[in-house]
This record gives sequence, structure tokens and C-alpha cells, in this order.
Amino acid sequence: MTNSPANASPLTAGHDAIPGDLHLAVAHLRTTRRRRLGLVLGGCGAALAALGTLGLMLGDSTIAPGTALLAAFGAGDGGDLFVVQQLRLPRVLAAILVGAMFGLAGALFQSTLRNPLASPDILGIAAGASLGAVSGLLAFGLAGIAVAVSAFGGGLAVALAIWFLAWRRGLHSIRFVLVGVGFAYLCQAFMTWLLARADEREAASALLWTVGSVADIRGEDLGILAAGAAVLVLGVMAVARTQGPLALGDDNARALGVRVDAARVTTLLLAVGLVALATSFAGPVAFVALVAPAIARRVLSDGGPALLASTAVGALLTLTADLIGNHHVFGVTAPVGIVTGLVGAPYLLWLLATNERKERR
Amino acid sequence: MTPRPEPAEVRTDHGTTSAAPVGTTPGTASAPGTGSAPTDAASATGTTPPPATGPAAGTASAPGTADAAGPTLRAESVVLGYDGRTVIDGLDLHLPAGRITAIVGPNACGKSTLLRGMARLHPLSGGSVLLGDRDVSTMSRRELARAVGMLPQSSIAPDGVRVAELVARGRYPHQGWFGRHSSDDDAVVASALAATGVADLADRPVQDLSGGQRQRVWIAMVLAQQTDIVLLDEPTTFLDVRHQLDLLDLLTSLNRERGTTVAMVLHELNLAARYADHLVVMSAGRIVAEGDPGEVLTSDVVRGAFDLESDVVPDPVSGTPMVVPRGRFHTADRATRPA
Amino acid sequence: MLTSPTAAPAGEVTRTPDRARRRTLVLLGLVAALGATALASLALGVRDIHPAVVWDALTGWAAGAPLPGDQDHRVVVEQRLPRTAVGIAAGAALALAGTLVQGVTRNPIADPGLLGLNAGASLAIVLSSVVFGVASPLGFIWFAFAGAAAAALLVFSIGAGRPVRLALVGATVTALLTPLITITLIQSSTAFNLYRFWAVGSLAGVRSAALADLWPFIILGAVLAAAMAHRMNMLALGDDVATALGQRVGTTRVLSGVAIVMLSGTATALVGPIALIGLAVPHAARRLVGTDYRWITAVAVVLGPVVLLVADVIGRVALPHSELEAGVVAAAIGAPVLIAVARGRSVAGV
Repeated sequence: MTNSPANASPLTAGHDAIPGDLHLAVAHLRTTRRRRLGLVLGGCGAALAALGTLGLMLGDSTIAPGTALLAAFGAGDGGDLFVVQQLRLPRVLAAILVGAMFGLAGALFQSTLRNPLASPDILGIAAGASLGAVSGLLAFGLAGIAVAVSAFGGGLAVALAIWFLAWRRGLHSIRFVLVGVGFAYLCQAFMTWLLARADEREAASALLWTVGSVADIRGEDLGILAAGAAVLVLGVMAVARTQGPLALGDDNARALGVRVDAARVTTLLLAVGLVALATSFAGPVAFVALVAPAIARRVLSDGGPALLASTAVGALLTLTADLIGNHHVFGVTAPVGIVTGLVGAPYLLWLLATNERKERR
Repeated sequence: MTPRPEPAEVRTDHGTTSAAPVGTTPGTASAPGTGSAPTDAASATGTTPPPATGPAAGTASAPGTADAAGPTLRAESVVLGYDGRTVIDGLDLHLPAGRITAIVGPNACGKSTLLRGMARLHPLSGGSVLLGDRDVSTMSRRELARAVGMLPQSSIAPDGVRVAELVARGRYPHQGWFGRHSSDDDAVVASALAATGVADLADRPVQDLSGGQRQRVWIAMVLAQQTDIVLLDEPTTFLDVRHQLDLLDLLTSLNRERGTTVAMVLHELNLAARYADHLVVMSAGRIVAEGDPGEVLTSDVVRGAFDLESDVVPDPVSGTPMVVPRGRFHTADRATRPA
Repeated sequence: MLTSPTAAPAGEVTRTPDRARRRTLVLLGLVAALGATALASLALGVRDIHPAVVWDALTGWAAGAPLPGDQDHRVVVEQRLPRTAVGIAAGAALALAGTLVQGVTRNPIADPGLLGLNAGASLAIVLSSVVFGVASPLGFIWFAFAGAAAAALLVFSIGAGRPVRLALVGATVTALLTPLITITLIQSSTAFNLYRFWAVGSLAGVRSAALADLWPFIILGAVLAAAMAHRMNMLALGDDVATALGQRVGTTRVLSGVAIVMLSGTATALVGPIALIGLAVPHAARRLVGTDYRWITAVAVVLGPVVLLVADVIGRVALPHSELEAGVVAAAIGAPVLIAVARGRSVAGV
């Protein structure tokens, strides 16, 4: 710092003496960032609308876009109205909802644990839910909503176990991730073992469950899912603002007035809740929680936690995957969980590869 | 060593600039109003103030901005440690309001731990930290963060974050539930950017900056917190000498013009002596000397704290004490050294 | 106040033999443990055989004597000896590969599985069964090996040079391959049945023929891993320091990659995707002997087989009338180890 008055004046007089253009420039930067976020969200919204309409139109019988949209809002006659209202609309909504939940949960995990690999897939929470469902199906002969409850319990149990085992005078992210990875492998091993033990047909249906599908979420299930998601999202809105300071490290966050342990615990609880709820109805839709935040962060590239963008990208990714899987793009009708990996992973790989080249230059 | 005769610009409390011939009126650059302190540090041997007895009289009654400044931060018989190993056992420290305090000491003497404890980044095993007359453990973190800013050692910026965005995170304790930025926040961020001279970097990713620039950005973030007290843990580490001076000048003008209380851990003894109004020398978890740098920094104190032989001479620029260490080599007296 | 310059280093020197002795003791103890578990692996099972009989059978076999009619001798030589040999080879290979992966990526949660190698091997096996009709474990070993190598090549070519990114790329490749596996499994029940038994990870079944084919890869990989250990020590200090110390960091990564593929590809081909040995054993080794990769490697190469054999023996005796596959038991042993390590004080010291 030189002693030149130009540099010193802002200090003396508070922000009144700031050159107006600097104030404007800072405001402009913020607006630019928000506009960029708006653009990403708007783009995702438009794509969701377009793909959603497509989802209403396509199927065993193709319905014209206008008719399909009208039917979605309850107008129209007999056959089409039934198909859209009872079959296609719930599926589209379920795909969007489940995808958004996984995307948001992944972003929360990754920002609060400061690890781009921290997602329910890798932390064993998805594996715990799968193990819960598979053991419910294979060992206890459960069916229907009982499987969902068993999955929810499995995911929650693993999350809590990770928690208690990783807690050592505060929740350190690397411990959490390491313990989580241990549980992921443990659950995976037991699940594979259950599959190997089981009768062939039962094993096949359990395998299907572990893939993740939004095909059968409708009516009451969809309502429960939406209500649960709404409650959790309200909670997320309350902790969202701590994510920026948390990204600067525990010490900086504390110095900025964040109650680090409380914020992290709350964030993780909400994220686990989102994952467990979505998984219990849809199964562990693979990799949305890992890939969607990674894509969102790179598209925004502002160093923020990208919660909103991850939610939108997750929804878009899942809806796209479900459309592809449902309409024989790979020659078979594939559940959504198969396709999400196939759609999301190459894009993330491409991003990683191109980023790499840019940084080398 | 010949004192340079040319005058240097010295900023006074009121932000005006006056020319003072440095070396002839030493003391002006450090604590104004404490002119009665011995200025020839080399002659002030053995005047170590009694440790841990609160503020030295000279600094507590210092006039000027100190009176106008906000509440003081002080530690009272604090105990700090790691995993059952006690580092600091019952230490008192008073950070004089509106002054610059520098804490020096050998590695692992507990100076960083003390600063972290005072900022509530490290749990106290005993004693208390008081802000004014309030125990900080009874305050909410956000309340504390609006009064005390702290820059920890080695902060890592998240990938891709830009300067203005990082500085804006300093607004956290002032924002409401949903963390919406207001135009006021923009103004504070702009002011912090301008004050630290990083305004033209506002849109650059932090990871692309040089070490000196990055450190200024972090300090801008702490400034955006708008606290009366700012604590810094080794803010000059990894900076070259020019950037060290820039940074300390920046903190000094912050102190002089806003009355901000500054306390920092420093490694460079001579810069600490030059820039601090109040110097705290620590060793093995205790304060071995504190007070006006001119009184505190003697070769006895340096020997006691650092186990190092040294000569202390007046700094030819500022008149503050300057430690000239003696190593095992190159110690011949100038008179006897071969030409 | 001129302290002697030799005082501090002298203190260092006097402490070092203690640590060296401790490390040597740990290693010797582990070798003894390996001997004991190998003996247990030969003696225990559905039919418990007295160690003396095991010894007779072994010496007889080593002397080239024809097998006597004794049933116990047959069990030892024809079933348990190959099984134990496979366990030792695979355990050592998995542990070495894990050590290398964690060293190269400087990421404590990296293991061959996370780098996509297991997914590559699995996909290759599933495809070999569907496309080429391969139905026996022996037949798909080469496919597993090729699949692991291909996945590793993809991961390293995109993620190389950026250690943290390497793990992210690995996870993404797994994300890409897993659905392909599942989609094939849903299509073909033959492949599903083949896969679900392979995927558990087991030492059962006669894999000794495969070991006879694949052992050179393990030896070569182990030699390469041993040669890399010293380089890992420098790499742990960061790329820049390693380069400044005269290391060609790129070469280290490539050679380590080759060793990882050889070791973990072979192990996966032999026993299936047994998780957690590659992840937990290096962590446990680090806990036992500190941060020197030469010692970590030496300990891992002994500790890996111990863990895998113990898992196998427990699996054999745990259930009264059937076997618990080694993969499940290894996971049940490895997870608590990993958790204990994670709860330790210096977990970031990778």
C-alpha cells in the first residue's frame, strides 16, 4: 500500500468516498453473476418444459403436443386424458422431483464436506438404502411401501452410523468421507452376497430395484414425495447461506460467525433426508447427486456451492434419462438409473478433459 | 549504519500528513502520546515490564483514536491446548483499543493458539475472553463476528471463486436469513477492495493471483466484515519484503483512519517493533514481555524468548528498536573485522 | 550461547534405531502371522485337518511323491493349497495396488475400485459372457484383465497430472460403466447368474490354473511397486518438490499406472472385485510403520494376504453347512479397520 491519497481516501471517509464507478462495478459483477445463474436456471426450466411435454406426448400412442398439455391441466376427453393424467404426467413429475432432490442433496454434500467426490453414491448412503431394500425384498419378503420404508431406514441408518463414527470433537469432512466410503463398500459387499444367495428370479427383481426407477411413482406416493421434499427444501433455504463461508474452511467460517458444526450437521441431515426420501421411492438413481453438482459448478464457475443450479441440472438430467430409457433409445426399455449414468458421466468426463487442457495452456 | 537524513512522511491520528525527520524525533511513528518512552532501545536494557499484568500504563492511556475506539478484547487467565497437551496455562492479554498489537515469539510458543483462542476458533480449557465487559462465550458467533474479524493462517479459496465474490463472503455476519446481498453490501465490498488496492482484480479468479495479491484479497474479506477489532495470524508469511511493508502500511492506515484495533502474530521482529504500538513477546506459552516496543525489545528479552544473542540498535528509518541477531559466524566486531 | 550444531541431530540419531526396530518387529510379526494364517487356511474348513497331516501332505507334495489315497492329503494338496496360493497372490496384489493408487493420487479414499478398474473388469466379464458365450471363470480371466486395463487407460489418460482429478475421473468412469453392466445383466440371465457369483469375490473354486497363467503379472507388478516406493515418498511432498528432488513425476505416474493395472487386474481376474483390501490395508500399514512408502509397501505386501486369508478362513468356518464368500468377510473386516484409521488423529497424512 502506498501512501498516495487516492488509496487512502476510501478508508478515511467510509464508503461515501468510494469512487462511484467502483461501487457500480461491484454491483455489476454481482448482477452479472446473478444473470448467469438466471440464464442457467431459465435454460434448464425451458428444457424441462420442452422435455416434459415430449414425455407427455410419447408412449404407446402418440398424443399431439397441444392435446397433451391440455390434458395435463385436466382438459380433454377419455383416453388421452387418462393416459396423460394417470400414466405420463406422474412419471414426468416424479423424474423432475427425484432428480431435483438428488441434485440438491449432492450439492449440499459436496459443499459442506468440501469434497467433489462426496455424494450419496460414494458415501454409502445410497448403498445403505439399496441394502435396506434388497434385504427387505430377499431376506424378509417385503413388498410395496414396506420396501420403501426399509430403504429409507437403511439409508438413514448408514448415515447415522457414518456420523457417530466420524464424529470426533466436531465433524471433519475427510473423516466423514473416509468412513462413508467404508460403509459404501460394506453395504455393496453384503448386497452382492444377498444377490448371489437368492433365487434367480427374486435376485433379478432386486437388481432392478437397485438400479432406480421413476416409472411407478404416482398418486399418493408422488404426493408424499413432494410434501417431504418441500419440507426439506425449506430447511435447506435456512442453511444455504452458510455454505459460502463454509467453503473457505472451518476457521474462516467460524471467524465469519458460522457455527460450523451446527451448520454442517444440519446441512448433512437435510441432504441425507433428501437422499433417503428420494431413494425410498425411486431407488438409488445412480450418480445424479455426483454429476449434477459437478456440472452446475462448472457451468456457473463462480466458486459458489451452486445449490439452485444443481437442483435444476439434476432434474433435467433425470428427466432426460427417463425419456431416453423409456423410449428404447438403447434398444431396450431401461430404468432411469441406468441412463442417468450414461448421460451424465460422458458430459462430466468431457468437462474434466477440456478443463484440464485449458489449465495446462 | 548511518541514519538517513531525509524526512519521511508520517501519518498522524487525524489522517493528515506531516513531514518529520526520522531518527531525530523517534517515537512519532509508533504510538503518538507515548513520547516519554525511552527511545534509544539499546540503552534501555533490563526494563522488562512485569508480565501478564494487563496493559502497560503508557498504552492504555494513549490519547487519540484509542478513546474513540470500540470495546477492547482481552484474555483473562486463559488455558489453551491440544488433545490434553496444554500449550498456554493461565495467560492474561489485553489488546489496547484503537492500537496495533504485534505478538512475536519463537515457533510453537503458542502465539497462534492464543490468537485463535481469542477469536473463539480454538476452545478454551480455562479462563475467559472478554469483549468490553462481556464474556465472548456468551455471545453468538455472528454477534462476535460483527465485532471481531479474524484472518487465520493459510486460507484456501474454493476453486473458481472470484475476488469480489470472496470479499463479499465477509458480509456474512451482517446478512439476514437468506443471505441476500444489498447495495450497502456492494458499497462495503467496494470500499474493502479499494482499501486493499485490489479493485482492478475484482473479476479475477482468486487462484490466478500472486501470493501478495491473494493475501490482500483475504484481508479485504476481513475488512468487509466491518469489525472494530481485526486479528491476523501471520499475515505477512510468504510475502516478499515489499509486500510485507505494503500490508503493514495498509493495516496501519486502517488503524489510524478508522481506529480499528489490530492484533497480529508476526515473525519479523523488526517490522513488528516498527509497526506495533504494543508489542507482546511470548515464549513457551507465557508472555515474557509486553508494552511499548521501544521498552520491550531488548537483547535480554530476545535472549530469553528466542535463545538468541543479538544487538538491539535504533532502526535508522523509524527509530524503533531493531534486532541484529548474532549467529555462529560473521560475528566479528566491525572494528576488528578485516577489510 | 552457541549450541553445538551436532546436538539436535544427535538426538535424532539416537531415536532412529528404536523406530527401525519397531518397524522390523512389525514386519517380522506380520510374516509370522502370514505363516500362521496360511497354515490355518490349509488346515481349517468343512473338514478340519491336523497340522501334522497338513505338514505330511505338503512335504510329500514337495518331494514329488504321488498322492496317497488319504482323503486329507488330497484335500490339502488339490483344494486348499491352490486356494491358499491364490489368496496370498491376490491379497498381496490388491494391497500393493491400493498403496500405489493412494500414493499416486495423494487421495486417502482412492483405491483400484474407485479408479474404475473393477467396473472395467466387470463389464468385460459380462460382455464376454453375452457376446462370446464365455461361461467359466477360467475363460473370462483375460477379459477381466483387459477390461481393467482399458478402464485404467481411459482414467489415466483423462485424469493424469492432476492427482485429485484422477479420483473424480475414476468415479465418473465407474458411473459410465456400471449402467452398461446393469443393462446387460437385465438382458441376460446367464450373464446375471455368472456375474452375481463372481462379483461377491471368492477364493473358492479352482483358480490355480489361472494363477499359473497370471503369476508373472503379479511378480512384475510387485517388483515395479517396490521400485516405486522410494519415488512415492517424494511424490507425497507434492509434484513440485518431487520434481525439484530430481524425479520425473510423469514417469512415476506412468510406471505406477502400469503396476496398478497389472496387480489389480490380475487380482480382480483371480478372485473377483474384492473391495476394501486395497483401501484399508495401506491405511493400516501407514498406522503401523509411519509414512515411509518403502515400509508401507513392505508391510502391505504381507498384510494384504493375511487379511484375505483370514477372511477366507472365517468364511469357511462361520456357517455350519455353507461358506461365506471371502469378499463379504473381507469387507466386514476392512470396513472397521478403515473406520478406525479414519478416527485416528492424523488421517490427512497421505
